[in-house]
Amino acid sequence: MSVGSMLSFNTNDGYLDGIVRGYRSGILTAADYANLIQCDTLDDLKLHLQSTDYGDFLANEPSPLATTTIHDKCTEKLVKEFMHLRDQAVEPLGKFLDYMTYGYMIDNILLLITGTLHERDITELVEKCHPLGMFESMPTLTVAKTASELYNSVIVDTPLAPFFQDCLSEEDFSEMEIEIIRNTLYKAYLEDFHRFCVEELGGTTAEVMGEVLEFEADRRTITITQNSFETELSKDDRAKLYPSFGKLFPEGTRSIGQTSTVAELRKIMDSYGEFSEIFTDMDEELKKLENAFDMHSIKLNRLSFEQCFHYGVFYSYVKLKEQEIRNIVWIAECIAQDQKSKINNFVPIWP
Amino acid sequence: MGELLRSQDMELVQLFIEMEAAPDSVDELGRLGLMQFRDLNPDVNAFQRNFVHEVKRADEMERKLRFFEEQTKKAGIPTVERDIDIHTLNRNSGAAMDELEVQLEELERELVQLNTSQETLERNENELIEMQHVLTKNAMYLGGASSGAEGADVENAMLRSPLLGGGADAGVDGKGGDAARSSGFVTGVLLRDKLNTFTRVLWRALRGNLFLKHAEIDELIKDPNSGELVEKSVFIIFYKGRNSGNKITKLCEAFGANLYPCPDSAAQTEELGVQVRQRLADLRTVLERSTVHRQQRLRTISENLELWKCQVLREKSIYHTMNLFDYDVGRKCLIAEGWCPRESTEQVQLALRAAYERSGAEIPSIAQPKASTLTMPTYFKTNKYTEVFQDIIDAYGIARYTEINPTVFSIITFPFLFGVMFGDVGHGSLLLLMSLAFIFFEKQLQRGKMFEMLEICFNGRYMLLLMSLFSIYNGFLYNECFAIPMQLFSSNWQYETMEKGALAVRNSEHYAYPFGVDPIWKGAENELDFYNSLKMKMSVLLGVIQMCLGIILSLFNGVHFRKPYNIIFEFIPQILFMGLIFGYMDFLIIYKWLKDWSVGPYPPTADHQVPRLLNVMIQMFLSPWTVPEEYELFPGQVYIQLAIILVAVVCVPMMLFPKPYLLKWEHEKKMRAQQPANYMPVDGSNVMGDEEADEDDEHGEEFDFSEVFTHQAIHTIEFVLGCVSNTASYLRLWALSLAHSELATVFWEMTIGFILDSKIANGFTLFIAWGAWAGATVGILLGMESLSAFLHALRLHWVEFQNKFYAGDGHKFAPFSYKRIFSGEDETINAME
Repeated sequence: MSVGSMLSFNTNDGYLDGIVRGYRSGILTAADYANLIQCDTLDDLKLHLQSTDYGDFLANEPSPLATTTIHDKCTEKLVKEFMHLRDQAVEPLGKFLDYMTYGYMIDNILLLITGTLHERDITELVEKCHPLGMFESMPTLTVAKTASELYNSVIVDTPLAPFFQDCLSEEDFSEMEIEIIRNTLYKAYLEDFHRFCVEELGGTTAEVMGEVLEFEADRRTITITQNSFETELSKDDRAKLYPSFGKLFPEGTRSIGQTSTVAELRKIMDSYGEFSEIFTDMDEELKKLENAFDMHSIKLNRLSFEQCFHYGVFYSYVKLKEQEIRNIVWIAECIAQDQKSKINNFVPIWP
Repeated sequence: MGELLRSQDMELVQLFIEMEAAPDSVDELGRLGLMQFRDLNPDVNAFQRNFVHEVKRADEMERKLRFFEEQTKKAGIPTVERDIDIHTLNRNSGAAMDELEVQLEELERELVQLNTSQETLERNENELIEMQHVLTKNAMYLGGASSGAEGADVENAMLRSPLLGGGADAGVDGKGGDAARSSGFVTGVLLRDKLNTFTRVLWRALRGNLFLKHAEIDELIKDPNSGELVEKSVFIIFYKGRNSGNKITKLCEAFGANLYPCPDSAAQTEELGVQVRQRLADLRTVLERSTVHRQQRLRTISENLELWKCQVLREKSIYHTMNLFDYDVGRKCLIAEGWCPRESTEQVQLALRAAYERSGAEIPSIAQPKASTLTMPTYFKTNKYTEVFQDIIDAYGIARYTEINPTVFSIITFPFLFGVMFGDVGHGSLLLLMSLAFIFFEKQLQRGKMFEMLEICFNGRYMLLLMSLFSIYNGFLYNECFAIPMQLFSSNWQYETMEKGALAVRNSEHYAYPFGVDPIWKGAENELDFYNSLKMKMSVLLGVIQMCLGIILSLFNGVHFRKPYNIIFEFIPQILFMGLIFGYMDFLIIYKWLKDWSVGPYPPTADHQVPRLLNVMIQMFLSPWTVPEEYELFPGQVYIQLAIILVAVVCVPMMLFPKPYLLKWEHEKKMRAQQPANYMPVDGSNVMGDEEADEDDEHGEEFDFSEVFTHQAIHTIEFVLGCVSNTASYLRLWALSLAHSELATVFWEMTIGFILDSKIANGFTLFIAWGAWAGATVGILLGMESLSAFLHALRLHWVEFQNKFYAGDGHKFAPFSYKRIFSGEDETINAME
């Protein structure tokens, strides 16, 4: 079935499409940000957020506010919205939304493994996990010592099982190992999600989500490469982590696999239009590159609202909202730590 | 009525209030509830306003009050309902508010402390309870394991044997913490719904090398975090190997299971059980005492809660309003601007004086009218009778300041048109009973909460009263009571025989049925023809009258706003167009009714036709210069029709062209006159009076001719076409009333009528039939039909009537008033805009 068909889309998904587009209009505007950055205290911030779609979500929090409370409450609101969508969704939208949560699951699993490696308290760790990526047997992760053990005791039950097949090793976890697992998982996840959108859903969804996911894949390729410079990771191992689709795949990916310095990387990137732009105004600094990537990804997500009758809006809404939460938290942090000079370094969602 | 015809004269008043007197002044004005404040700092953010600190303080206090409310509700203490009249409640001075804040702060702290200690106690209690369960359940396993014949139990016993010989310390901790031991058991308590996953994960993690038994705890256990009662199970796990032990402990931790050490001998278990019971009893006494203490605290809180809430909300609304004011730093005073009805300025002055005296400020506050070009808000003084009618008009659009208010006319026309569509004595009487019940028990009903649909009806009770009266009146006209005719007077007609198809003969030439329709028509073969003709013509007559009223009202508006062009080039051609074409049609209808057509032979022959009015009208437009003989109703018809057509045709360009050109000319003249004025002092522009300023607003400084002309063209086309379509639209009166009476007839005939005619008529069948009939009457006719008649009456007023004169682009007067805030009508305070 092609979900992009105008004729039948609204039968099952019209209601949720309407809702998510309604949610989108609640995303903070440039004027809201202009007001937010003028705030002197977090209470001011709360007061202003009250006049937006966030409403009185902080009304029952005693002053003084902590930035973590703001973050938790914002996320809670997003999760509530997402769960509402998920509860109402009809297949295949339900599966699409599930796919979105897999990313968070991967993050949570890795968070827990890393946490246990550093012998942190489990309950504390579980609280830090993203609520969208929660699953029943999650706390059990802490028992696992090796990847195959992890797979056999926990992952087998979760939808992530197929992604795990490439990283079953008997070695004990180490920092490096965990990073490799993370990237392998993500690679498998992105590839599968991409396949699901393009092959199973098709239509406008394939078009929009293809674009977004391809960028995500390229972004991973570049970030992995950049992070691997001056580490023990061999070029062959590194090449295994690159997602096998995207704008860069296959020639770009192959040539990137050969690089070993930032300068080389940049040289290759110059021949890819959209990336050269991102790279030109970047110093060696990683932070700036991340920002530039975020900007571009937000642009793509924003664009997905320009089209009708597709599922990309659900993905994009969550991504945009997440960025918004990051922005609010950034502004809140700047206010709380009195670092007003840096307050403008957030990524605005509407230009 | 005079008050309702045009909205109240408003005045923009500027207030100068000394800082000290400001909160009290706002308080007094809030009680008065006749002043709508303007926002004087629209560009300032919510958090940068002058009194944002006070608003935030009130917010914080509200939060505490919400916390108290939640706590009292959780503790099951009913909130003490108190009738607090904010108008008589004196406002505390600022110091008292500070006191209240401190008091709330202390109460919150105390409550939080009580909660934590209570929580700890409860947690301890729960742990002990769980432990008790673990001990009793496991005693069964550990004690009676060998009696079982299953393989598992054999394994169980095997596992236990090294443990038993393990040493004296085994009783303290069953876990395999001791390096020397390689097997052991763990006991604990887990949420029941997690048990399945737990078992599966354990199995997988230990590769099946374990033995797990569980038993349900019969009673519900309170979860200390959420305070809810949850189901839990006791489990016991036997395992082998130290690694497994560690893994199990970790997993238990991960699943949030509580582990309790369990001794392995029966005697020790017994001993521990006694200990636990003892401790539990102690704990319960302590817990009870603390609960009583907490309940007491909460009860005192709940007594004052309502009062505090009112005080805090009032404080918040006062400072929220003061945030709209301009703060003059130099003179230390607040400048406020707001609208109030002109006749109430005196009251505003008095309120300010009272506040000045109360607050002990040095300088009395000043209120002075201010000239402005701003559009005034529309304010109608309504009472409980007119309110609902005004609401219906407001739902379409708020009247422009001082334009004619259609409510005045709707009060009668609306129920009347409803009655036309719902005309039935029986149904009307039922509605009447309902509305009378509402009105009679008004006071009692107002107090309680009602079912939503019923509340809507209740709010419209006075309208319902009129609607039911008019539907009874129309029922008498149609001579229908539950669709059955009433023989109130003797009929003029009589059937010769009772056979089917018999003709009725007239009794007397000079007798007419005194009121309404002769009942003989009911059941006649040409009943429908007769009713259709009657109702159709009646609808058109009513429609044209109502639309003409609308056009005449536009004349009043033109006179009131001093717009001669609107009178000469809109009102006059419109009334001529409408009055001549459709007025002539009405004239023909009435003329035809009055003329005695029965002199000729019956049925009419070809050369003695009764002219069909529809054809007469069509003929009039197609060839106005001739009137064929069969369409002639009266002599000289052709000249009159020709004149009507000519005048109507002239009316159209009259509506279309002159007004825009005249406006353009006027505008240019004004521009020419203003040019030298630019060199005059700036004061010149301020001298303009209100009226002129309004005029200015209307046409704007930039005059776009093409826009004005297009607007006029649309207006003209809409009117000309609207005349035809609106008149046709009034035919809904006929359609609805026909549908109503036919439905009622069908319901009667299919139920009671059917039974009466059949052979099975007896008490029981009639009872069943009556039930069906009553159900259909109430559900379909009184429920759905009345709603549909209501909606159609609404449409006829909103569209067909009001589009002739009503601009409806005003904004409603929304005064700062405690009454509105405390009834929840004014939401700006709670939403902070």
